[in-house]
Amino acid sequence: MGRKNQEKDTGAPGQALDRIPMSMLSRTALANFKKNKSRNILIGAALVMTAMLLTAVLTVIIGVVDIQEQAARNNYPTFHAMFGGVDGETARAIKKDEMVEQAGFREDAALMHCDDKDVSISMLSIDRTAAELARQELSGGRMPEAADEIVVSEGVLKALKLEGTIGDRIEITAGTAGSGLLERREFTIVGMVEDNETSVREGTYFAFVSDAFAGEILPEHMREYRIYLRLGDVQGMVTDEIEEQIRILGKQYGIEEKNILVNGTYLSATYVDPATYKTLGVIMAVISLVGALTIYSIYYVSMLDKVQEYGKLRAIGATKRQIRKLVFREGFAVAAAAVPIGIVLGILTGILVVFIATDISAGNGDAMYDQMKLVLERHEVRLVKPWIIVCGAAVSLFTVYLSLLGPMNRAGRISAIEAIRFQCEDKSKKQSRKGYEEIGTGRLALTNLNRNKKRTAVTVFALGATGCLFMVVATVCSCMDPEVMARQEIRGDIQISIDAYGDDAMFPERSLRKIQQNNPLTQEMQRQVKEVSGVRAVEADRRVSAGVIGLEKEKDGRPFQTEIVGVCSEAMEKLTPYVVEGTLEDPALLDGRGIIVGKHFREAYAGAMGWEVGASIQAEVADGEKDVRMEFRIAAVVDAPSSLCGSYLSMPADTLQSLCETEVTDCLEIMVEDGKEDGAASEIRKITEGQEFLEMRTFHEVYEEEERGVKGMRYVLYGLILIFGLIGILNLVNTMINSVYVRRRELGVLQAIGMSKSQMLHMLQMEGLFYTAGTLVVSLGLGSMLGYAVFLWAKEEGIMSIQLYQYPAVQALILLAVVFSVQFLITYLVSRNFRKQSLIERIRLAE
Amino acid sequence: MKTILQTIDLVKYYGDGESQVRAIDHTDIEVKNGEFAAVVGRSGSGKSTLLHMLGGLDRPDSGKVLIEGQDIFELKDDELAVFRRRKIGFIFQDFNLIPALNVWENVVLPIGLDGKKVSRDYVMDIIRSIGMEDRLRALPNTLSGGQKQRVAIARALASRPAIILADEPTGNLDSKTEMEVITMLKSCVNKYGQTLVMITHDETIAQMADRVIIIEDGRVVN
Repeated sequence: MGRKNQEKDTGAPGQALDRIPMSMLSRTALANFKKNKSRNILIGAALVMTAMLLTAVLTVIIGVVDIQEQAARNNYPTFHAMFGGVDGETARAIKKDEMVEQAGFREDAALMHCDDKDVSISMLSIDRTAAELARQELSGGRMPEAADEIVVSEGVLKALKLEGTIGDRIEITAGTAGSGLLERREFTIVGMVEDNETSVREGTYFAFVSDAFAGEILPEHMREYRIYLRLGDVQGMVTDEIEEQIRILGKQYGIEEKNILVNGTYLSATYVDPATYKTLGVIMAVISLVGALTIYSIYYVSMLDKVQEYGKLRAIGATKRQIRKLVFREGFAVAAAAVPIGIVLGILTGILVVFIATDISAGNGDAMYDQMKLVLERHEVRLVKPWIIVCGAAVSLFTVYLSLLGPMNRAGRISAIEAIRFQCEDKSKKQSRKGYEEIGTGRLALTNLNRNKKRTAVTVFALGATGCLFMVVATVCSCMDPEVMARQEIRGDIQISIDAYGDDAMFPERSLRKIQQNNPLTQEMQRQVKEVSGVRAVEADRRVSAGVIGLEKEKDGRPFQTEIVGVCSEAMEKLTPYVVEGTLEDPALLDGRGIIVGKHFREAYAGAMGWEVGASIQAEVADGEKDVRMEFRIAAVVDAPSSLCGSYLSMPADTLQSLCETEVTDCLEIMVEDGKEDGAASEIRKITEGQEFLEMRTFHEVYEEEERGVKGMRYVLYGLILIFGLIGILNLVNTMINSVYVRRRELGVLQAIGMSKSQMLHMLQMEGLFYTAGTLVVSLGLGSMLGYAVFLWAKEEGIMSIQLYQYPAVQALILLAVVFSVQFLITYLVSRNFRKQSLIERIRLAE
Repeated sequence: MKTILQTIDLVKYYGDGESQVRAIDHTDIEVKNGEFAAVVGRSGSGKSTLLHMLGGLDRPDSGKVLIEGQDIFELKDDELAVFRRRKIGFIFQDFNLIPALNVWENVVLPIGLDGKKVSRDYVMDIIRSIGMEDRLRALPNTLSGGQKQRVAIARALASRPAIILADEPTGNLDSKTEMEVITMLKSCVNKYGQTLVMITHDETIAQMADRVIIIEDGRVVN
């Protein structure tokens, strides 16, 4: 009978079985599920770990992002952007726009007249939403509603030489900007507001009045609003996309670019690097793949034993589809039990990790981290989210599906004849083998491994992959050196630098050029620092803001904004070994025509691709209020740590100063004699005390901060590896159990013809040893090579400031010890368990 | 003639109460050196259990099994394993060859397990006797049932045991092959001066033995 006919013959009862209610299949699947208990426990355990990892990773990453955002909400004004110079009609239209989630209005209604000409007091009308978005809180009372109500500060009252408190009436002379007309009015104080530092220092105060007052004092055509707004639907959007949306909205309503102010502080505090989501995706894919590989390998191994079972079902008329479904349902029955456990464990682990991580980060000087800890303690953010559970479950089930595809097809392909013929014999088509003249336990073990080449390879590959991952992570961890990382940031023992906010339109007074106009790093301060006991040397670096022509323009149309660093002579010498092109001896560097380019800077921007030595760069250098156009010729390209200013555009400090009228000193690197660091630091702290625009850090502080970061990173990475390792061990357990279980009769025969227990243990140890050796060769060989490759990549890309290769010898030894002991333990337990059955049982079992 | 195998008051019961099965019930048998004894009985009469006891594969509830004067159940598990590979050759109904090993390796396996050097001439002589000299490298899955059983016979002979125990060696063979295999077994036993205890339910085969031991309900009846 041909194969086709056989199919036809079994097809008829198969169709009959098709008509049997599907619950029959489910019942068979359930019965199988119970029967293959040990295999299903293994698969279940692998699945629990996979689901746990998936959920934990999601909980941690999403949780930290949310906590960060909530902390920023608690701390900073929460509007995304402010549109200025908007007329009433446009303002109302913007408020109704579907892109806008919240919009609040603020209007500069009038200016108060004050005898002190150095003081200006604005009268602002601000609605509830704007007050909320701008985090404008009153120290007492309420916001004004009627035209004669006002909120003032102590500073305002003092400037006006008035006295009063909530409920008092005061008389104020006010006029609208530009009109010159003054009006005297009486107001009731309904609330008080605190003065901020800038107000006091610069004499720019404000008071709040009502919209009704603004309506009275300003004719309709003169009314002009600033709108504070938050866009809707920005969850998961990265900062750049939000900015893009803001500009699109502004353009739509004809708002000029200069009148659009993005709240950079808030956006960067809540900034989520797009790479975070990509990384999350990659981690989840890796977990899912490792899980699928393990489960597949467990199925693959145990399927060898199930041929007869599926064949018998085929013989009584089950169709291929039904067999496939049977395997599928059995798999999903395991998943139904394991995935919920994994998810619960994952959520618990995730929450634990978030708590530990915020706890480690808090108290390192960054207020944001303290806020994050507070957010967590106050339960302001929900870490357990339904969508995380759904996502964790979906990816876990997808993992099961992925791992079941192969076994389903294989089981479906088993024919009735194959099963009946199947006598626990070797199915290989091999007819003969050369063999050995004499055969002992060692050769028996080798023969067995050889007979299941594919299974051996799958197991070694799966275990080796985990080992490789371990070695790569271990290499990265051992190359992360907090000292190198700290030295990237700080050259000396103590550093005083100008605390400028890059390019933040919200805080123009904190821009570098603004601060430099009244540079706090005066010659006098430098002298004081030099006199502090223990200070050996003080190196002064300089810095200016600059717009580089030819690179991609900023969104507001200005040239690409960066900085040119003036490197002090001592640091210039240290920079020499890092020169990759050109020379620092170039005389152009002394007369202000030459410039040094950081290799990473050049690689980061498309427009800088052709920046070779000799090429020219044009830049607008910010010198006080002026922008001075200059042209530089590239003298050298360096690949140096950022503490040596190797990551930017740079030139000798004195040269940079000679190009500018403003004092552009930016940073003092202070070298202190050994053992005198603490004393010097506290002395210098006294000198810089009260200087709002200065920041002081010691090497020790930076080192501790980096060390904490490295430690946290190691915890996370090794935690991941530990779970991957456990999954790998499950795989080994399965392989060993199955290799014994499948051959239980054969082993029984071997014992009957005289193999002693110790010989059997020896044989199984040899087999296990092969897996161990294979795993170690792959892990230590390939893993070390991959680790080195990742090191080279990290060094090239400047990741984690990795500079020096450090072979993870301790970790390799630990891997060696763990793999060996795990394998010996497994073999011992398996063979002990095996011995519980009597010889007769074993010989008979397979019959 | 020297007694090579002896059981003394051997007892093995399974279960208890009403469902108790008396597989071996106070059985005493004796087999002399060079003898071919057939153990005959109906299905469930306890003959297989008896053979397992004789081979030290299972332990009795009470009584002794002496092989060459040694009470085998006085030995510890590992000592018993060593004793088995030196003194007892097994032939099973379903051959039980090791599928990954070729004909030669299957035959020399018990010698290898004992850590002894293989006497190539002696083993080749056995293999020639069973007519498998052309198929030394063949794997078991390429052999017919009769060929497999012949290899199993060679394996049992190779370690020059004191006694060969055969459990329905022809149970899985057709009648033509059956006679071939039995004839070959008998001639080999004679040639190498071996003692053979064979279980069978086939009267014809039993008639080829020097002595027939009939078992009923765990007791020797003749």
